[in-house]
Amino acid sequence: MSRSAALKHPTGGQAILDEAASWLTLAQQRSLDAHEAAQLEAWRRHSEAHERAWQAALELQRMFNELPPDIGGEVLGRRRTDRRAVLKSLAALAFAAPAGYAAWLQVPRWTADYRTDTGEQQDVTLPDGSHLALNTASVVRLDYSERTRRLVLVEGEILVSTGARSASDGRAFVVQSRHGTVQALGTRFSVRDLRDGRTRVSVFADAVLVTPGEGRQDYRVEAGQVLDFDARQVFGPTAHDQPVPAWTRGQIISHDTRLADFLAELSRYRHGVLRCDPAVAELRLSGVFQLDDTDHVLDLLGETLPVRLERRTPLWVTVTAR
Amino acid sequence: MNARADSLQPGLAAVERVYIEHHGWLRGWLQSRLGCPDVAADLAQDTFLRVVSRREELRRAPLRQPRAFLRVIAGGLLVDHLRRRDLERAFLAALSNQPAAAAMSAEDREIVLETLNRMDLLLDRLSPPVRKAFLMSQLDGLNYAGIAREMGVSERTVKRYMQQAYRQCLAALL
Repeated sequence: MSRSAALKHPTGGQAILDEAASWLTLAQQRSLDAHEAAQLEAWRRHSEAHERAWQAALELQRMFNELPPDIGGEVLGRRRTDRRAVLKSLAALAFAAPAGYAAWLQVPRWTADYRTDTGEQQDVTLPDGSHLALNTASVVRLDYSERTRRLVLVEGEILVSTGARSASDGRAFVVQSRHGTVQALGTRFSVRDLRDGRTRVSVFADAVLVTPGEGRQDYRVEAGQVLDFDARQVFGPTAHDQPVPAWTRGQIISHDTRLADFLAELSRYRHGVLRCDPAVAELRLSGVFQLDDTDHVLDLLGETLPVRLERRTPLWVTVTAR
Repeated sequence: MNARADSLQPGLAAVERVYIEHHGWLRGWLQSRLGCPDVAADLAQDTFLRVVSRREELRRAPLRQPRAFLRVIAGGLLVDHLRRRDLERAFLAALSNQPAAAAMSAEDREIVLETLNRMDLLLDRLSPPVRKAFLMSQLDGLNYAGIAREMGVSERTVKRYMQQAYRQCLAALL
């Protein structure tokens, strides 16, 4: 839009642009001789518009000079998504939004937002007496109506504990994730947006009913079970043996966990980038780790595994082979 | 119809109507694309700012398909947002590969990232071969013969690419 506007602009005149580009193309090819340099000088003085075009050329040159060359090439020369392809897929999506999705997006009648930053956790008592815990980097919208108590998990992970007062409430209690709904059947459970196109439900007491957004079937998940689902189907369930999620006690518990998976989990609680060298990705570890000091956890890894930490900056850590 | 608003600022009532009827839908549409409610809200706002700037046109010719219209504007903003996000990711990855660069101060990084963003906007409009030739010349310091060899085209074609790249960049800068 700005480009075509600039082209139409009288001072941007087509001929001036062509001429300026020709000068630049020539000057980039070889040094101008004295005669050419004088010609260019004269060209610039021709009008204010000529001079402005030349100033733009200098500005362009200055921008290139400011860049560290390696970084400039890597970033600007990256593979690009085709603009038209993006727009086309957007147009297709616009008509194909599934029903579950639409519900997820609906603006609720009465809303309250709870959110936590990376590394933060928060406990909330909801209006009906239920208890809500937000894990790191999470966003929840509250949508209570006459018939349902709905929590919309916009991103992150939550633990819901419905209390005695809550049980007498009479309205259904539902957590809506990007991929479907989880209905409480008097209970304690956690819901996490896995960020890879699935939602994970872990049940710690009683049971819940999971309904994928585009599915027609409900799946019952009992205490001690974990179930992943996307908008169409479920994966699992598998078993877990924890009375409450470890994160609510500020811990990560691992049993024979791949180092790469462990670091991916730990990085949810840290700002910045935490990278795992593929050479050490398959190392295994077990233990209970405290989340309040993730730098200390990283130091521990360096002491107990054959790995080394490269701290390029405090926010940029790579775990690599020793 | 809000005749009073219209008499104060021609076309504003038309915009107001589009806003009231479609703002919620637009936010939802953007959010389903982005997954992030905050960015969706920002982009929806930006979309309506663009609509406001066209209120004269809207007053003269009311929209027949307001949502299609909003989707075109919002789509453009969305593509730009995604481009910026890709750029930042590529920048972080580049930093991690360049030990010297990782030592840059936070301030320097911001300046470099801003410069990259400005240049990226210029380059995004170039066709892929033109961009490739231009970057080889500007960043790798290759001469036209070298670029021609790398790309398997004639030197005349390279010159044409360069001319085109300069022209488009200058037009965008002016």
